[in-house]
Amino acid sequence: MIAVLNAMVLAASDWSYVAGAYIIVVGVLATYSAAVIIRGRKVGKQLPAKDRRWSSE
Amino acid sequence: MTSSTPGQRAGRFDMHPDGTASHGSRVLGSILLIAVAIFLIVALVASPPDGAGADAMGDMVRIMYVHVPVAIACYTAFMVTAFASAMYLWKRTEGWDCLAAASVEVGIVFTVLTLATGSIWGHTAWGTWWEWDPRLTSTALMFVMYLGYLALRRAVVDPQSRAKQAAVLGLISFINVPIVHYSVDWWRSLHQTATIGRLDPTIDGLKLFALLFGMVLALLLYAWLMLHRFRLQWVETQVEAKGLDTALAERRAEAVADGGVR
Repeated sequence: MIAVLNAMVLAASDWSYVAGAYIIVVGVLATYSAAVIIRGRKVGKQLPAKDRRWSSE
Repeated sequence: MTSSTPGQRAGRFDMHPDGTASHGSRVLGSILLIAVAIFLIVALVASPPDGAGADAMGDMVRIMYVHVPVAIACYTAFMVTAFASAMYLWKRTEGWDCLAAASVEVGIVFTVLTLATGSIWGHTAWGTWWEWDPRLTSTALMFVMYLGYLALRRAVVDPQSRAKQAAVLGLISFINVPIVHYSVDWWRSLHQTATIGRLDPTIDGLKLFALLFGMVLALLLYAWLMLHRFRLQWVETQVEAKGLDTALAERRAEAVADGGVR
Protein backbone atom coordinates (compact mmCIF):
# COMPACT_ATOMS: atom_id res chain seq x y z
CA MET A 1 0.00 0.00 0.00
CA ILE A 2 2.76 2.44 1.02
CA ALA A 3 4.71 1.48 -2.09
CA VAL A 4 1.69 2.29 -4.28
CA LEU A 5 1.21 5.63 -2.48
CA ASN A 6 4.91 6.42 -2.89
CA ALA A 7 4.67 5.65 -6.61
CA MET A 8 1.58 7.91 -6.92
CA VAL A 9 3.30 10.78 -5.09
CA LEU A 10 6.37 10.38 -7.30
CA ALA A 11 4.22 10.31 -10.46
CA ALA A 12 2.35 13.45 -9.35
CA SER A 13 5.67 15.13 -8.63
CA ASP A 14 7.01 14.09 -12.07
CA TRP A 15 3.92 15.50 -13.78
CA SER A 16 4.33 18.86 -12.06
CA TYR A 17 7.84 19.13 -13.55
CA VAL A 18 6.60 17.99 -16.97
CA ALA A 19 3.70 20.48 -16.88
CA GLY A 20 6.08 23.24 -15.77
CA ALA A 21 8.43 22.54 -18.69
CA TYR A 22 5.62 22.53 -21.28
CA ILE A 23 3.98 25.67 -19.84
CA ILE A 24 7.32 27.52 -20.01
CA VAL A 25 8.00 26.43 -23.62
CA VAL A 26 4.51 27.17 -24.94
CA GLY A 27 4.19 30.37 -22.88
CA VAL A 28 7.56 31.83 -23.89
CA LEU A 29 7.09 31.01 -27.59
CA ALA A 30 3.55 32.42 -27.64
CA THR A 31 4.61 35.60 -25.81
CA TYR A 32 7.64 36.13 -28.06
CA SER A 33 5.58 35.51 -31.23
CA ALA A 34 2.96 38.03 -30.11
CA ALA A 35 5.65 40.59 -29.24
CA VAL A 36 7.30 40.26 -32.69
CA ILE A 37 3.96 40.56 -34.52
CA ILE A 38 2.87 43.60 -32.46
CA ARG A 39 6.27 45.29 -32.97
CA GLY A 40 5.99 44.57 -36.71
CA ARG A 41 2.57 46.24 -36.89
CA LYS A 42 3.79 49.31 -35.00
CA VAL A 43 7.00 49.81 -36.98
CA GLY A 44 5.40 48.76 -40.29
CA LYS A 45 3.11 51.80 -40.22
CA GLN A 46 6.17 54.04 -40.65
CA LEU A 47 7.07 52.45 -43.97
CA PRO A 48 5.07 52.73 -47.23
CA ALA A 49 3.54 49.49 -48.54
CA LYS A 50 5.81 49.47 -51.62
CA ASP A 51 8.83 48.98 -49.30
CA ARG A 52 7.18 45.96 -47.66
CA ARG A 53 7.60 43.42 -50.45
CA TRP A 54 5.57 40.75 -48.65
CA SER A 55 2.58 43.09 -48.12
CA SER A 56 -0.60 42.38 -50.15
CA GLU A 57 -1.53 46.10 -50.30
CA MET B 1 -14.74 28.38 -61.64
CA THR B 2 -13.24 31.71 -60.55
CA SER B 3 -9.65 32.38 -59.62
CA SER B 4 -8.55 35.01 -57.11
CA THR B 5 -5.60 37.37 -57.34
CA PRO B 6 -2.91 37.23 -54.63
CA GLY B 7 -4.23 40.51 -53.21
CA GLN B 8 -7.78 39.18 -52.94
CA ARG B 9 -6.56 35.90 -51.51
CA ALA B 10 -4.53 37.63 -48.80
CA GLY B 11 -7.37 40.09 -48.19
CA ARG B 12 -9.66 37.37 -46.84
CA PHE B 13 -7.92 37.48 -43.46
CA ASP B 14 -5.53 40.35 -43.98
CA MET B 15 -6.59 42.42 -40.95
CA HIS B 16 -3.25 44.17 -40.41
CA PRO B 17 -1.65 44.99 -43.77
CA ASP B 18 1.01 47.14 -42.02
CA GLY B 19 2.48 44.17 -40.19
CA THR B 20 5.02 41.47 -40.99
CA ALA B 21 2.48 38.83 -42.03
CA SER B 22 1.90 37.58 -45.56
CA HIS B 23 -0.50 35.02 -46.98
CA GLY B 24 2.20 32.35 -46.73
CA SER B 25 3.12 33.15 -43.12
CA ARG B 26 -0.57 33.06 -42.11
CA VAL B 27 -1.06 29.66 -43.73
CA LEU B 28 2.10 28.32 -42.06
CA GLY B 29 1.03 29.82 -38.72
CA SER B 30 -2.40 28.17 -38.94
CA ILE B 31 -0.82 24.79 -39.78
CA LEU B 32 1.60 25.21 -36.86
CA LEU B 33 -1.22 25.91 -34.39
CA ILE B 34 -2.90 22.64 -35.35
CA ALA B 35 0.45 20.80 -35.30
CA VAL B 36 1.23 22.11 -31.79
CA ALA B 37 -2.12 20.82 -30.52
CA ILE B 38 -1.47 17.38 -32.06
CA PHE B 39 2.07 17.37 -30.67
CA LEU B 40 0.82 18.09 -27.13
CA ILE B 41 -1.59 15.15 -27.39
CA VAL B 42 1.13 12.83 -28.70
CA ALA B 43 3.78 13.96 -26.19
CA LEU B 44 1.61 14.20 -23.06
CA VAL B 45 -1.15 11.64 -23.62
CA ALA B 46 -0.50 9.10 -26.39
CA SER B 47 3.16 8.29 -25.79
CA PRO B 48 3.87 5.92 -22.88
CA PRO B 49 6.12 6.74 -19.90
CA ASP B 50 9.66 5.35 -20.03
CA GLY B 51 9.62 1.66 -19.05
CA ALA B 52 11.02 -0.22 -16.06
CA GLY B 53 14.73 -0.49 -15.24
CA ALA B 54 17.37 1.34 -13.26
CA ASP B 55 17.69 4.11 -15.89
CA ALA B 56 13.94 4.43 -16.61
CA MET B 57 12.79 8.03 -16.69
CA GLY B 58 9.05 7.42 -16.24
CA ASP B 59 6.97 10.46 -17.19
CA MET B 60 10.06 12.69 -17.09
CA VAL B 61 10.93 11.37 -20.56
CA ARG B 62 8.24 13.78 -21.85
CA ILE B 63 10.50 16.75 -21.04
CA MET B 64 12.94 15.37 -23.62
CA TYR B 65 10.31 15.86 -26.37
CA VAL B 66 10.61 19.63 -25.90
CA HIS B 67 14.16 19.98 -24.53
CA VAL B 68 15.94 18.31 -27.49
CA PRO B 69 13.85 20.08 -30.20
CA VAL B 70 14.39 23.58 -28.74
CA ALA B 71 18.13 22.84 -28.45
CA ILE B 72 18.23 21.82 -32.14
CA ALA B 73 16.32 24.99 -33.08
CA CYS B 74 18.86 27.14 -31.22
CA TYR B 75 21.79 25.40 -32.99
CA THR B 76 20.00 26.00 -36.32
CA ALA B 77 19.42 29.66 -35.50
CA PHE B 78 23.08 30.27 -34.70
CA MET B 79 24.17 28.31 -37.78
CA VAL B 80 21.97 30.60 -39.92
CA THR B 81 23.52 33.62 -38.14
CA ALA B 82 27.04 32.41 -38.94
CA PHE B 83 26.15 31.77 -42.59
CA ALA B 84 24.40 35.14 -42.95
CA SER B 85 27.33 36.89 -41.23
CA ALA B 86 29.80 35.32 -43.66
CA MET B 87 27.55 36.28 -46.58
CA TYR B 88 27.33 39.85 -45.29
CA LEU B 89 31.13 40.15 -45.10
CA TRP B 90 31.31 38.88 -48.67
CA LYS B 91 28.34 40.69 -50.32
CA ARG B 92 27.89 43.68 -47.95
CA THR B 93 24.11 43.76 -48.50
CA GLU B 94 21.75 44.69 -45.66
CA GLY B 95 19.52 41.65 -46.23
CA TRP B 96 22.22 39.31 -44.89
CA ASP B 97 22.79 41.58 -41.88
CA CYS B 98 19.03 41.57 -41.16
CA LEU B 99 18.94 37.78 -41.43
CA ALA B 100 21.87 37.37 -39.00
CA ALA B 101 20.40 39.79 -36.45
CA ALA B 102 16.91 38.27 -36.64
CA SER B 103 18.24 34.74 -36.25
CA VAL B 104 20.29 35.64 -33.14
CA GLU B 105 17.23 36.99 -31.33
CA VAL B 106 15.13 33.92 -32.18
CA GLY B 107 18.09 31.70 -31.26
CA ILE B 108 18.40 33.35 -27.86
CA VAL B 109 14.73 32.61 -27.14
CA PHE B 110 15.32 28.94 -27.98
CA THR B 111 18.50 28.92 -25.86
CA VAL B 112 16.56 30.25 -22.85
CA LEU B 113 14.04 27.44 -23.35
CA THR B 114 16.85 24.88 -23.66
CA LEU B 115 18.40 26.05 -20.39
CA ALA B 116 15.02 26.22 -18.60
CA THR B 117 13.80 22.76 -19.67
CA GLY B 118 17.27 21.30 -19.05
CA SER B 119 17.28 22.78 -15.57
CA ILE B 120 13.87 21.25 -14.77
CA TRP B 121 15.12 17.93 -16.08
CA GLY B 122 18.32 18.23 -14.02
CA HIS B 123 16.43 18.91 -10.81
CA THR B 124 14.70 15.54 -10.97
CA ALA B 125 17.45 13.51 -12.66
CA TRP B 126 20.49 14.90 -10.82
CA GLY B 127 18.87 16.58 -7.80
CA THR B 128 20.10 20.06 -8.71
CA TRP B 129 18.77 22.95 -10.83
CA TRP B 130 22.25 23.79 -12.09
CA GLU B 131 25.62 22.04 -12.32
CA TRP B 132 28.86 23.45 -13.76
CA ASP B 133 28.95 20.56 -16.18
CA PRO B 134 30.66 20.99 -19.61
CA ARG B 135 27.36 20.92 -21.58
CA LEU B 136 25.55 23.32 -19.25
CA THR B 137 28.50 25.67 -18.87
CA SER B 138 29.19 25.87 -22.61
CA THR B 139 25.47 26.46 -23.29
CA ALA B 140 25.41 29.29 -20.73
CA LEU B 141 28.53 30.74 -22.39
CA MET B 142 26.85 30.51 -25.82
CA PHE B 143 23.82 32.35 -24.40
CA VAL B 144 26.02 35.15 -22.98
CA MET B 145 28.02 35.47 -26.23
CA TYR B 146 24.91 35.96 -28.33
CA LEU B 147 23.50 38.40 -25.76
CA GLY B 148 26.76 40.29 -26.37
CA TYR B 149 25.98 40.23 -30.10
CA LEU B 150 22.64 41.96 -29.47
CA ALA B 151 24.31 44.43 -27.08
CA LEU B 152 26.87 45.28 -29.76
CA ARG B 153 24.12 45.99 -32.28
CA ARG B 154 22.53 48.43 -29.85
CA ALA B 155 25.85 50.10 -28.98
CA VAL B 156 27.12 50.96 -32.48
CA VAL B 157 25.22 53.82 -34.18
CA ASP B 158 26.64 53.75 -37.72
CA PRO B 159 24.65 51.06 -39.63
CA GLN B 160 27.54 49.86 -41.82
CA SER B 161 30.06 49.72 -39.00
CA ARG B 162 27.48 47.94 -36.82
CA ALA B 163 26.73 45.35 -39.50
CA LYS B 164 30.44 44.65 -40.08
CA GLN B 165 31.29 44.31 -36.37
CA ALA B 166 28.19 42.18 -35.75
CA ALA B 167 29.08 39.89 -38.66
CA VAL B 168 32.56 39.30 -37.23
CA LEU B 169 31.10 38.61 -33.78
CA GLY B 170 28.45 36.34 -35.33
CA LEU B 171 31.20 34.22 -36.86
CA ILE B 172 33.38 34.18 -33.72
CA SER B 173 30.42 33.25 -31.48
CA PHE B 174 29.58 30.28 -33.69
CA ILE B 175 32.87 28.59 -32.70
CA ASN B 176 31.20 27.73 -29.39
CA VAL B 177 28.21 25.94 -30.98
CA PRO B 178 30.03 22.70 -31.98
CA ILE B 179 31.79 22.81 -28.59
CA VAL B 180 28.36 22.81 -26.90
CA HIS B 181 27.18 19.91 -29.05
CA TYR B 182 30.26 17.71 -28.65
CA SER B 183 31.01 18.64 -25.01
CA VAL B 184 29.27 15.47 -23.80
CA ASP B 185 31.63 13.35 -25.92
CA TRP B 186 34.82 15.33 -25.32
CA TRP B 187 34.59 15.69 -21.53
CA ARG B 188 33.20 13.68 -18.61
CA SER B 189 29.71 15.06 -18.28
CA LEU B 190 26.59 14.50 -16.18
CA HIS B 191 24.57 15.22 -19.30
CA GLN B 192 23.61 12.16 -21.34
CA THR B 193 25.03 11.65 -24.83
CA ALA B 194 22.94 11.93 -28.02
CA THR B 195 19.69 9.94 -27.87
CA ILE B 196 18.98 9.49 -31.57
CA GLY B 197 22.16 10.77 -33.19
CA ARG B 198 23.39 7.22 -33.81
CA LEU B 199 22.31 4.07 -35.65
CA ASP B 200 20.93 2.45 -32.49
CA PRO B 201 18.69 5.05 -30.80
CA THR B 202 17.91 4.47 -27.10
CA ILE B 203 14.17 5.08 -27.61
CA ASP B 204 11.67 3.69 -30.08
CA GLY B 205 7.99 3.55 -31.01
CA LEU B 206 5.74 6.43 -30.00
CA LYS B 207 8.49 7.95 -27.83
CA LEU B 208 10.80 8.23 -30.83
CA PHE B 209 7.90 9.56 -32.93
CA ALA B 210 7.09 12.24 -30.30
CA LEU B 211 10.74 13.30 -30.24
CA LEU B 212 11.03 13.49 -34.05
CA PHE B 213 7.65 15.27 -34.29
CA GLY B 214 8.91 17.79 -31.72
CA MET B 215 12.09 18.38 -33.75
CA VAL B 216 10.21 19.01 -37.01
CA LEU B 217 7.77 21.28 -35.17
CA ALA B 218 10.56 23.28 -33.51
CA LEU B 219 12.29 23.82 -36.87
CA LEU B 220 9.02 24.91 -38.50
CA LEU B 221 8.35 27.25 -35.56
CA TYR B 222 11.84 28.67 -36.04
CA ALA B 223 11.11 29.20 -39.76
CA TRP B 224 7.77 30.91 -39.01
CA LEU B 225 9.30 33.13 -36.32
CA MET B 226 12.11 34.01 -38.72
CA LEU B 227 9.64 35.07 -41.42
CA HIS B 228 8.22 37.64 -39.01
CA ARG B 229 11.45 38.60 -37.24
CA PHE B 230 13.40 39.04 -40.48
CA ARG B 231 10.68 41.31 -41.90
CA LEU B 232 10.60 43.30 -38.66
CA GLN B 233 14.40 43.71 -38.83
CA TRP B 234 14.10 44.79 -42.48
CA VAL B 235 11.41 47.37 -41.67
CA GLU B 236 13.45 48.72 -38.72
CA THR B 237 16.52 49.05 -40.98
CA GLN B 238 14.53 50.91 -43.65
CA VAL B 239 12.92 53.23 -41.08
CA GLU B 240 16.34 53.93 -39.55
CA ALA B 241 17.81 54.70 -43.00
CA LYS B 242 14.91 57.03 -43.83
CA GLY B 243 15.35 58.74 -40.45
CA LEU B 244 19.06 59.28 -41.14
CA ASP B 245 18.29 60.62 -44.63
CA THR B 246 15.72 63.04 -43.19
CA ALA B 247 18.13 64.20 -40.47
CA LEU B 248 20.87 64.76 -43.07
CA ALA B 249 18.49 66.71 -45.35
CA GLU B 250 17.40 68.88 -42.41
CA ARG B 251 21.05 69.51 -41.42
CA ARG B 252 21.92 70.50 -45.02
CA ALA B 253 18.90 72.82 -45.17
CA GLU B 254 20.01 74.43 -41.87
CA ALA B 255 23.56 74.84 -43.23
CA VAL B 256 22.25 76.47 -46.43
CA ALA B 257 20.01 78.79 -44.38
CA ASP B 258 22.94 79.73 -42.10
CA GLY B 259 25.09 80.46 -45.18
CA GLY B 260 22.31 82.66 -46.60
CA VAL B 261 22.10 84.71 -43.37
CA ARG B 262 25.85 85.36 -43.36
